[in-house]
Amino acid sequence: MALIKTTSPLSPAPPPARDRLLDELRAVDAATRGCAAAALGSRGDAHAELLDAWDTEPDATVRLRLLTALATHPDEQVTQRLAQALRGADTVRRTELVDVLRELPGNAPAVVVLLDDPDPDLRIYALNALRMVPTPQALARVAQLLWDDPHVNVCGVAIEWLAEVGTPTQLPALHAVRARFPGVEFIGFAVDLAVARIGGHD
Amino acid sequence: MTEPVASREPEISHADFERFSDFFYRKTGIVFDQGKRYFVDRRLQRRMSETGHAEFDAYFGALLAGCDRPGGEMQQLINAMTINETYFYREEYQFRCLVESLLPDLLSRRGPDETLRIWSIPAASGEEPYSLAIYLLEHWPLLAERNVELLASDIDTEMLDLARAGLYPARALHQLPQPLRDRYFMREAGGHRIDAMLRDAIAFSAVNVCDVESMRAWRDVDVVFCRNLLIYFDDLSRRQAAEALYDALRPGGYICLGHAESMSRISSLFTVRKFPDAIVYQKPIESRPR
Repeated sequence: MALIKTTSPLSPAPPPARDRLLDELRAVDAATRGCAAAALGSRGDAHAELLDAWDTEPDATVRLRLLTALATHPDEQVTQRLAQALRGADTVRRTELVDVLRELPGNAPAVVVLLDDPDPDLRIYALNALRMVPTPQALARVAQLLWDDPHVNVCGVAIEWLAEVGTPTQLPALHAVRARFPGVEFIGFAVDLAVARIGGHD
Repeated sequence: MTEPVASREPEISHADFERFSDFFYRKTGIVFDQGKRYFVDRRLQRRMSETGHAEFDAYFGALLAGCDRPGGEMQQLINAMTINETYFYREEYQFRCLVESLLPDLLSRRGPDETLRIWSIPAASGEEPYSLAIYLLEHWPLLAERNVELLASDIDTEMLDLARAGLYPARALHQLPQPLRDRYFMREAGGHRIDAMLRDAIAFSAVNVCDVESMRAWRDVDVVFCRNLLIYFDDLSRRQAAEALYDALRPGGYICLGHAESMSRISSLFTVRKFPDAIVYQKPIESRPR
């Protein structure tokens, strides 16, 4: 017994055909479903099937694989459907969706509309999904939240977001939200921090 | 386009540093506290100068505007913040963790005749896989009773040629105790040549960890050393690579990342395991329905 060298070189099995991968997406074994998702993701020609599978997939690890597969060759339809899925998803699935939406370039138009939803939790998830993609459109809409969103926690998340990526253009909105929630200490604290950071003050 | 700045170093205030370090943490999982201020400032200032920005705000704005662009300034900045040199016995505590904690755990689930498979990726010029071989020979007596396959892969075939040749400058050996240098290296023109027995013991191969199809060949690995690779990828590539490595591992297998990397920020597929010598990530033995 000792250090040994692989005697037979590892060689990839030929990639399974699309139909077989779709069958494997419904396999009993979660590992098989996960591998099938990855293979279909690299092909980029099974978005609808991957989205359908994600809707019903009970295993969290496979759902992650499905989302990564969908993000590999994303198109507008995928982004739209994932963003809309945030509405009806439970907390676990919402967190999974936010993680993948953050990685989708151009997610902003599909996600920004969720900031108009009456559910404040959904608005917070949408803010988190936008966090890595601070486009001018997203920044403008987030600043608008500070003027008119009635929920203090939504505003808190928006202020935190602007503290990281905001510009002087958003300073009036930050002052406005402080005035809208005069008795809420954490809002005042968060605004002070964001204003100092945007202004570059120590 | 702004003129390049050469006359003075751009200023970075405390607030700028805090803002940048928060964003960089969220993007990469790498924490820069005040103790790293000088290191971070110098690299930020260099990137600002090289991109023609005199003010932090302007540079940060440009960074954010292009942060989802592959190969853009965000990637340049990550590279600048993470440049490292490889050498023998680098982050030796992980090898100690392998011998003291990971291998005993793996052996408890394996038959006596089953071969253990350890994969070093990226192998670069070979310092890591050879370090693993030396460490096992020196510190794991059970090697006399078990077969271990050492696999070493890199995307760069020129680096693999260097690894196969096994010739190293003295600075690559600076962490190795002298007795080990004497035992495993021969001094010759151009540096120190690693022992032929070790060169023959490691299977080197070219692999792109982001290529799903080629990664299908890699299965039944017990431990992956994937240190300071994922940090260079964008978010999606990082997840794809983590998932490909997940597939390559046996259930219960382990992955060791670099000290500045965290799998928890890449993918929730793995379970965090805290051992006395290191934090590593384990592929669950059972799948986890939720």
